Amino acid sequence: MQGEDIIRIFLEQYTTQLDFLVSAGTCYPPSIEEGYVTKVRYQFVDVDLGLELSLEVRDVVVDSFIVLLPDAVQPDVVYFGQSRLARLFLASVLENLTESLSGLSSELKQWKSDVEKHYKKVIRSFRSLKMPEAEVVRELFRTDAQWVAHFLRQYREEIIQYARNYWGL
Amino acid sequence: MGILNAADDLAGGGASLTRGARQASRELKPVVIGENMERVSAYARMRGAMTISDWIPSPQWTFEKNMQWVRQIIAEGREVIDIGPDFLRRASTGRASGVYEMERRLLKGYPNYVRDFQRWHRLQGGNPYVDPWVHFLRTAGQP
Repeated sequence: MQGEDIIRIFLEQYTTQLDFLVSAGTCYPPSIEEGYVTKVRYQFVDVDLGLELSLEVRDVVVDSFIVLLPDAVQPDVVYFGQSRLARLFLASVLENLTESLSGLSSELKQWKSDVEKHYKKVIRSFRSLKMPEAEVVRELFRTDAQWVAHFLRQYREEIIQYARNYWGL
Repeated sequence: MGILNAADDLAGGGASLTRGARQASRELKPVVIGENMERVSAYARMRGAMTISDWIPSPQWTFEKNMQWVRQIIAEGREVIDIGPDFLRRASTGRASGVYEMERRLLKGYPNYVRDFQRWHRLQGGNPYVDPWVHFLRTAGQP
């Protein structure tokens, strides 16, 4: 198990779970950016916003963002673009929607708890100075990708509306 | 010579790694570490410094190679600039990087370690070059 296996599992799991965004005509086919951080980016149709899944191989961590395009794809933009945030953590966007969407708060807690359960196995491997097994990584990514897909299915309009308001689109 | 070779690792050019750690630390380019490789890479580009990616491409990365790399840069006497945790990620996801923590542990007490980040709360801080909200929060009245 090494970096390329983690990247392969990442691409396989997230694109499988999020394929509905393309087949439903919600997003354009994803673009993939490879580097020390590998990214899969889905741009929403008719608005300059996207969903970005960003894998840091070293930590076996995937961050999910709602991004402002094209600002978020400029070189060296980590979170900030031209003096403003170009990326919002999906988790933070959802946190901000919990007051208006009943049930979302408990789903968010469940998402974090499910991912944490699998991520602990990764940390355990690192503490034993070993790489995690492929199946551990697959389960972690599958679980997280299923939750991201769930939120995009259930709350896509609210998420996009929140982002439009945030960026004044 | 270390077990891992960097593509472009001399600050002045022409130096040999066998000259000893003190001289090497002056001639070899510094190395940047921190949480979130996007932050680390952006900072390194700005400073003309190097990162782990100059030794280990991400497809070949393993935890063990990462440890060997830290031990190698210590043996070479390189300056190591630590830009700290990604506080925004920690606050948003609750996750801290196990690999970055390992690097910090191995570098504890290393004389050429340079800390280049601020922290004023468990989940607040950063490096002003790659975390611009550090300036924003400071000017907004944070400690």
